[in-house]
Amino acid sequence: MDKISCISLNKTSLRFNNSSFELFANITIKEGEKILLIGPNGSGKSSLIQLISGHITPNKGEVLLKNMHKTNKESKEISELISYMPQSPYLPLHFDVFDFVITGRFSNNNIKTNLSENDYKLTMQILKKINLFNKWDSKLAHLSGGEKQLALLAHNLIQNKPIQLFDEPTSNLDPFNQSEVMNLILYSSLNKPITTIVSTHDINFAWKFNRVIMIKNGVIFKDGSPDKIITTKNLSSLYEKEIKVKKINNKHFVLTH
Amino acid sequence: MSTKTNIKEIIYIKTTRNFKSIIVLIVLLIFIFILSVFLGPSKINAFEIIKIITSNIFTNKSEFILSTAAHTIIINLRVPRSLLAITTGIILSSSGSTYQAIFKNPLADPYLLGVGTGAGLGAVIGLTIYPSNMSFANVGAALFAFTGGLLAVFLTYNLSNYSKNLNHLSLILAGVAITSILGAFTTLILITQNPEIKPILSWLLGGFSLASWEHFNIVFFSGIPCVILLFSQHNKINILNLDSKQVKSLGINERKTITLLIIASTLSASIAVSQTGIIGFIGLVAPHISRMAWGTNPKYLIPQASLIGAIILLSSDIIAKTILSPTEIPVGLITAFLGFPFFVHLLRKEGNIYG
Repeated sequence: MDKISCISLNKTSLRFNNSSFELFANITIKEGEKILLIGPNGSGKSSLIQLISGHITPNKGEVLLKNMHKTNKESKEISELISYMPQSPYLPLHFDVFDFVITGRFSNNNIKTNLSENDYKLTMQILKKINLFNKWDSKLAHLSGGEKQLALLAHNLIQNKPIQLFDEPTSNLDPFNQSEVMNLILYSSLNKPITTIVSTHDINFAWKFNRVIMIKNGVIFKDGSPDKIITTKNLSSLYEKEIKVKKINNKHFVLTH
Repeated sequence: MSTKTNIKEIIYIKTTRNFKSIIVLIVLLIFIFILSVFLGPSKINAFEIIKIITSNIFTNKSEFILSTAAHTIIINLRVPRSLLAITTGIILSSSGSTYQAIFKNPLADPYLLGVGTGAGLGAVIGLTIYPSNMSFANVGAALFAFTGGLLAVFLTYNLSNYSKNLNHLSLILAGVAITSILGAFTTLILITQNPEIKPILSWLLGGFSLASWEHFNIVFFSGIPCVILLFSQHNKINILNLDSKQVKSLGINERKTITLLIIASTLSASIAVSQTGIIGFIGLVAPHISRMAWGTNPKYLIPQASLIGAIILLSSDIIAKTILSPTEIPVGLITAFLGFPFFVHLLRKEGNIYG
């Protein structure tokens, strides 16, 4: 049996008022797929993610989620399906880490009641996993850029939604944290078929995902498994720079210089 | 805290400790309330005060004969005055806490957003059209004040949006601009309405010296329901502190929620202003102290800040009526004197949070 289509963008296009840039996408994403989104700055990665999350409405075409038509009126239903980590959101700097992360546990079910003891436990667990537990009572203002990003990531992971979108989740992290965080994003809940879409500039993570979508100037340039499409030729024409893909000890490496 | 902190400790700090702090604050407030009833320019001894209060509670009003000057001072002046100060403190602090979440700005308070001056202008217009010696003048002033306050907060909000990004600075600058322009209009009315100037001027400075049961009833019965409404929305207020994108992701209709909360907090703050004058800084200082001591969760922050606001305002009123006795100082002056060092502290210590 085929896996159900989870997200589909049917000839969806998006235009911005004061620019000639247009995003066009016609893609189907199946439940449980792990997708990496790559492309140069300004190619439309963030816009594509926000079309799916419902933060931007398309000018033409439609976005279907689990075959449910998505409009703004149904934002409550969408919020139960999707979590979305924006690139550099405003942060309430006077919050401590724990109080910030635990807000991810709010949903339409408990907004009128209260957080349970379980929500507190989950918050503690995620902070431990993400190596931020030693700062649970520090104000966000006193964290480094990377630590703020980790807190934001924890806020998103703790939502435990079936579709998880991350817009450059590792941009402020050191290389070791980057790889740990990617693993956390990909394997945090193996028992559930979670659909994950991550945008990044670090192409070396591509082989951890089962599908890579390349975007260039608002259109899908290549779409397929990393083994097939992450090639010297494709990357070089995607970024219009000389990029090499090498295999060392059976591991792939992308060399940008 | 170390990594050895366990979940029980965290839950204790985040819930039980907050709950205990509320009990302590209530006890403290009751103590200061008693002090406030006992202190005043006319010397009435403690024993007599206790007798008056107990007789007032336990005697049926119809068979009541004892109506001495002391009795009038206690029952019709000091008690409503102290209760009005408490209610005003609660209202200004809970609406301050709410504004801070809505505007994603820990510096927002009814005074800085222009609500105080807007409500003041409304009340002055109301009192000019319908002078204070006529019946229901206080209710009329309250209605005008609410309109003025609401107008001011929307003007401030829209003006700050001119800078495209709703950041800390633009909101405060817009608040300052709106405050000064509305304040100028108020002065203009005061100058042109010459004979009326004195009572309105003393009222503008903010104070409880004219407090009566009527003032208290107006503020209490229209303001406290708003505070209860704000408290009932504490989880949403908590989420509104986050980025708008995250608010939406969590399934909250931000615009709808904000509209409701702005109306409730502006209504209560404006009505307090219409009956007590412009009392600054309480709505900023009380939530800040509460956050520093116990954290940011509005479930506890709203009651904690409300009680701290009530304690500060009631204490300020005790100072206002006793320090230069028999002359009274407007309580707004006391809170302004308290507010100044507080701002200096914010500038010096917490620039990275509030910058």
